[in-house]
Amino acid sequence: MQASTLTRPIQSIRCLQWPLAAEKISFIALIFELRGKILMELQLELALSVPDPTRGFDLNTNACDGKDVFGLDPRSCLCVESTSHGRHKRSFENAFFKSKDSFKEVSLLLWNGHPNKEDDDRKDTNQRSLCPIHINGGEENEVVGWPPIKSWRKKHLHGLQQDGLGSDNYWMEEDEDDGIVFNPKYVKVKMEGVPIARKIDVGLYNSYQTLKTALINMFSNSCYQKCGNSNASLTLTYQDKEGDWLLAGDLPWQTFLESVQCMKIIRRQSSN
Amino acid sequence: MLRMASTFPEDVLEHVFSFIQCHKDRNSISMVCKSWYEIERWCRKRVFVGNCYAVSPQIVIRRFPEVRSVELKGKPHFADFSLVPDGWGGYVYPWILAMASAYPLLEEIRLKRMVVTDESLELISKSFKNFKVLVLMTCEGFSTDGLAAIAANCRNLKVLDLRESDVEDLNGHWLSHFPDTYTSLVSLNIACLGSEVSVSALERLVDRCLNLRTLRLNRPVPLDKHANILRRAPQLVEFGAGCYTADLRSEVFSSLTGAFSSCTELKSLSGFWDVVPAYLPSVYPTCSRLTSLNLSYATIQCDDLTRLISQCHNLQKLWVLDYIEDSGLEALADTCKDLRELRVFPSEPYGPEPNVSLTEKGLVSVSEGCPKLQSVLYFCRQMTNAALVTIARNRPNMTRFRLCIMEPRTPDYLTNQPLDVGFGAIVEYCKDLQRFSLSGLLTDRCFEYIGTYGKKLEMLSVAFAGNSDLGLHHVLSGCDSLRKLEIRDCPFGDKALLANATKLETMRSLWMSSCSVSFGACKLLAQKFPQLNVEVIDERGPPNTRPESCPVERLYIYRSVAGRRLDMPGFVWTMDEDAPPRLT
Repeated sequence: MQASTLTRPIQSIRCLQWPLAAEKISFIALIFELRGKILMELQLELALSVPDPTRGFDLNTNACDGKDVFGLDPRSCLCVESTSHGRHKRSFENAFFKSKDSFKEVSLLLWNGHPNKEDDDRKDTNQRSLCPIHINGGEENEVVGWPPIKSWRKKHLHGLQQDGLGSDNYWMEEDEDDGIVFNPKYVKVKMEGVPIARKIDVGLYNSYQTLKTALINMFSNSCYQKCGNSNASLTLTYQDKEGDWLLAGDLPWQTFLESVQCMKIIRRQSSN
Repeated sequence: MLRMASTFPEDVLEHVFSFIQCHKDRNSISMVCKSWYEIERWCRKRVFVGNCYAVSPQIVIRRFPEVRSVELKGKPHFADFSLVPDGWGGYVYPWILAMASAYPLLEEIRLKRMVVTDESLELISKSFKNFKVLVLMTCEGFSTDGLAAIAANCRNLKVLDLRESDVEDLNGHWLSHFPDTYTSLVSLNIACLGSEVSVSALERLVDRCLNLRTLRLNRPVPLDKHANILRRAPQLVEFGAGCYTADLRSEVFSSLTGAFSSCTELKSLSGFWDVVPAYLPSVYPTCSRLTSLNLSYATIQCDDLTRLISQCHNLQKLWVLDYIEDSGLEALADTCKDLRELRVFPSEPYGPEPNVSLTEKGLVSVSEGCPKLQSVLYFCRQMTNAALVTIARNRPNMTRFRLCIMEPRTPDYLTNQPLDVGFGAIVEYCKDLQRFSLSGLLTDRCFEYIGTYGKKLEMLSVAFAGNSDLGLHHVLSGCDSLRKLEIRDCPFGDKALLANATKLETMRSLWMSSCSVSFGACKLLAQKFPQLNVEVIDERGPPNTRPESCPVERLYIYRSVAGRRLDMPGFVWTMDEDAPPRLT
């Protein structure tokens, strides 16, 4: 990477090729002024850290430690007073960073970021303080349009998560020919000590035994086998509609199917 | 050049031009000289308009009088993610109205992200006598009544593709409107429809259309009807299954298996809503032939997916939910040496914790095992710079790389560093990268890499990234081929935008939402660049009631030869209110 490719004199020349109508000249002057500032910053940056093209992206070099590349508070580059048309304007500092409350007014999005360790860790990268997104403990942990999933697909996902087909007018509900009414019932299963939970359709199983076998296979297939290999030490519990946690196996299978809300596999304490 | 052109008779040149299909090449031809411009415009049969507000139908019709096929795009891409309010625009009716009188011989209309009313569909069905292809991608505003008009009147219709459109389902009988004499159907995609269609009408249609190659059913088509439909169309190349759920019955299973075995041309499968894993083996007979598999609506757990994919040796395109997990992707890497495109979608994007074991490792495996991989869309929850560098080194042939780490500003989870080096490696090694989407914790340094290396980059999507104007400056001053740039929630503002304003005249569009561009800068841009339409979308009310330095909610800038548009809703403001609208 060479300084010349970054500073782009060609772009500056392109500016000169505009029709130089009188009213445009002041604007061009402004552009040169702005460009000059950015170029100065660029050169400063280049002086501070020149990536060596021969090394490519070496992971061992501390090329990107999250610190501000100018060695300054990056806000300083936003604080430059813009003087277009000779009119005095409020600085960006005033406009954007006055207080947390002004964030609330200018922001479009709701983003719920509960303070946690990770957030604290990231604060020192001074990312947060720069962005005009405000952090609000409101809505359901959702940023509008993020993650970027098409609305159509989201609708479908939503249907999946509503324990079944999500809508009453699907054919299964009304099939009178052979009386088959099939409703997948997706239930979340967690295993103690395993960070990743699974969601399974309990309707696919016909007994506690088949369910337990499937669950044990499912969790032992993942790379988290440290929680003990002996099946006997595992106990399947579930939460019923009242929110109580019960041992699976006590009620008839059909009754269990109707009441189960989520499941947890716990390791039985050998000392007890 | 003029002399050389004059030595050829016009019709010879016209014949030569007819072999050139690529829009870019056609544009280049028309720039050679006046006579080539004239010859080219008279023989241009296909027109592509990437932004329906960049030009008016009248201008297109005046220049290209003999068009047979039109492709139009409407709303900005971020509309897919609900960032564009309802009623924004993108109406196709004015186009249809103009073309109805100018192009009676029009055969094809392809629309993306446009508002299509039933009135438009009726006008299409009655205006073009030899109408053949209607593709509505992610469109909205119409109902099954409009589709009934198309079915009833377009006697030569070959393709009806409604992919991912939002159709109001008034009734399922619209399919019955295809007349009994109608036999020309080649491709039918109704996967997006929510209501039942008449299965008997569908079966009769399949019976009489012997050239049917593509059939994508919707979710309400029950499983026990599938075998029957398939057996009537053994020539099918692409099939989208409907609801793949029923109590397990051996006769249903065996008839399905038989039907799939009889479809010896089948190359593409999709759909499979609510699939019961026990029924999956019914498609095994087709696996070795499949080149395309879309299971992104099918909840299939890792083991069943792996069993299925391990038999699809010729797969080129796979769309799948993250239930595939790292282990399934490893199997994919071992099996599918021809894979070109992989998309992995999240099954629970809003859950606070992962529900599957899908990490950066899966993508690394595929990049190692699949030498032809060139297009990736991958949703995951963790990433490292090392993984991205490995992927970049493994697959320098990548042209489209979209990675979504679902929690905004997630750093490399091993080193806690920004992902600048990783994403930088992608753009450095993949010299032909055209489309790039970033996520995770990124500083301005990443944009420096993009500006330096992304010489062929055409579309860039950025969210929650960068630290200052410098980031945007790197992109606008560096990416020579950039056509579309979309940015949300980044601290990019006036300085970078104004300093690179001339770049905007070379691009199709720029979207910025929740960034730091002020209303004053928008006004300045619009005044100085009359070729640009600068639209502010602000649902809080007129932006001029706030200080000029106040940042705008959403900003959409695009070049246009048609002047500012006249169909703006109340929440969109253009900056040149005083200037008279420039009409054709």
